[in-house]
Amino acid sequence: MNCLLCQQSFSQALTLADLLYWRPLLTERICSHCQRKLQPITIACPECGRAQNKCEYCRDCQRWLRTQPDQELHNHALFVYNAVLQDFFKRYKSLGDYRLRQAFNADCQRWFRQHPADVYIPIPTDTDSYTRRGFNPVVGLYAPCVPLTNCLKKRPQPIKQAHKKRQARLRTPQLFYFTGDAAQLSGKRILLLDDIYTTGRTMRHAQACLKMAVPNCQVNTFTLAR
Amino acid sequence: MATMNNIPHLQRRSAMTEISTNWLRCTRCGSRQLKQQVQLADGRYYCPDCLLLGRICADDYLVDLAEPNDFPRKVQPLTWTGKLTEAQKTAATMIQQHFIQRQDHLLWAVTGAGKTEMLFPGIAWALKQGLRVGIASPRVDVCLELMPRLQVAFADTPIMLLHGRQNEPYQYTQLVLCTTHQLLRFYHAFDVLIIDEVDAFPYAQNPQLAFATQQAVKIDGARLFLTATPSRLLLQQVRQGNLALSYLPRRYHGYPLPQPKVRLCFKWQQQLRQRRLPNLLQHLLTTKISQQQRFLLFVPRIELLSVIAPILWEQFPDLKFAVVHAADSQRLVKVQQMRQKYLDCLVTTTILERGVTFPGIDVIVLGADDAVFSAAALVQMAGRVGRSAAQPTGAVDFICAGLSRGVKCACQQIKQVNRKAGFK
Ligand SMILES: [Zn+2]
Ligand SMILES: [Zn+2]
Ligand SMILES: [Zn+2]
Repeated sequence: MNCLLCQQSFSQALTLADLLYWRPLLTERICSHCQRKLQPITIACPECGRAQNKCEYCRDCQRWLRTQPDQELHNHALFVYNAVLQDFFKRYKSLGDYRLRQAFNADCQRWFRQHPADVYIPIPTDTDSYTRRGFNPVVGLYAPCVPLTNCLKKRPQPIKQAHKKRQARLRTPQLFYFTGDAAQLSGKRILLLDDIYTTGRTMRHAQACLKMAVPNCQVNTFTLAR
Repeated sequence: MATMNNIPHLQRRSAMTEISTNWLRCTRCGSRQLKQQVQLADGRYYCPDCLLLGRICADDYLVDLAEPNDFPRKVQPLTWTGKLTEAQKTAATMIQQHFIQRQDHLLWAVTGAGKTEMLFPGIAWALKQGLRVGIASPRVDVCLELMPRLQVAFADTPIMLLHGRQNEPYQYTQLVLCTTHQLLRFYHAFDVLIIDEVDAFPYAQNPQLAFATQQAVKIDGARLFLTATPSRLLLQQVRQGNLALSYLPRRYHGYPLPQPKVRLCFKWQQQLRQRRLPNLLQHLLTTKISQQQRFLLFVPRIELLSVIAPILWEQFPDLKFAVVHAADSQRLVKVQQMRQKYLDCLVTTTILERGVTFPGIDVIVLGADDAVFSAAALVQMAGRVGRSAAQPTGAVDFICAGLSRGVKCACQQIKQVNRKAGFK
């Protein structure tokens, strides 16, 4: 098999645990050399999932919670958004290499097994980027790992997010609307899924939108990179 | 699309064509794709192999303009004033002959034979005829080195340089210098196409690039392949009469290729892992450093760079060196520093083996028997030595734990070439 990040061929080393315990084997799609360049996040800010030395609110989150104490998030991110992941997302999202969606399946699946939720909801893309790419990058990443419930839709956006300053991005009106069955989600543990956590705006909007539609659900969020 | 239909001489081709129920072929890069592996969520198919040129899907179209050869005629395009040796002159005439006859041609010239200069008369002839000329090389560094030399040699001819890392907008020029991947952007565009280092990575075993050279040249165009170490496949083409062959075994300064010294060192890998230099290497390096001899140290794998660098720092604190590998973002800078003699040594993987010249250096290949070093790669590495007329000799050392086919083959080829050139 060829590594999805560096294209070199490699073979997966089985661990003793893989052999001893009967469970579906996770197929690695990244070679050990690339694997070593990833920075898994272990100790993090409980709000945004940023890698830190101590498990306490990071400065950005402290500032945010002082002004908006009711908009608390619980985000977990798997990896630091370093050069390897930037390159990955450039090829996956900008160049549109859909094969790369499988690169982190094993890592995500391991995490989902240890932190199960009742319902998994992906952040939607707008129609324009879907037409251009031919796929939703978030759905691509997580669909092979967990059953997804598509119940959020994106409102048409006048300006592209990437071109806006951080301030402008945080201030914009609600990005999403709810299209699902509220009764079905009531009382459930929900995990919101996105690819990259940057400012947290997307996640806060999505969470607020969900809480509005389903007041008594419990929401956590998850991203591949932070 | 609607407006493009009105332009005359416009050809439209489907971006991908179905070759069976499960397989598609990309029209741009010629690769075969298994449908289920390249299907997007919306059902379309795309080609992952030429993605870097911008993604194309099966329902897209490639649009080509038939080459108009619309260039101002020049009387004397060649502004180079240097002189060719007799051997170079003979080869240059052969090259031009094949351009005139519009035939494919293989030039087998030892490293350091002065290939670039031999091309000048042929290129000048083509430019005079109003023909379009392309020169493709596998590596960006080589293109960057070649560009100023071409600009001096053809001072009045605009030259477009194309490679993946440059942002200049495309300009239509009679003379184009590009990396081989960029050839995929051309369709039946060149009357004369010169392909440097045919046996180098990334051509060798890369059908995409063989396809690219075929697509980029006009149907009645001529291709010239340059190599220092022809592969069996190319020589087979010659034997079958598909390819004419010219042969230039002598370096331009008349000295032979340096014969590599094979030095066996069984446990070099273990010793490195224990943070020690093998005695043999230690000794070699000490000698070179005390003689202020600059050198290249090749290692077979990127991982070894981070092992060997700290040992060198510790053992030879005064040695000015840099480690460099293919994906190194500072690669071009470091090569430039070595060329300008700010560095005494580059420790590197196989990557800069070709085309790049440093005058007066020695070469050490650590782990020459590693599978990543083909015979061709080893001959190329040895060929880095003694390229300049001022310093036509130098030492090449292959340090290996055993004799691989590559090492044997490389030593044999060098001996053979030198014998053909009249050295014993
Ligand atoms: Zn890899
Ligand atoms: Zn935080
Ligand atoms: Zn293609």
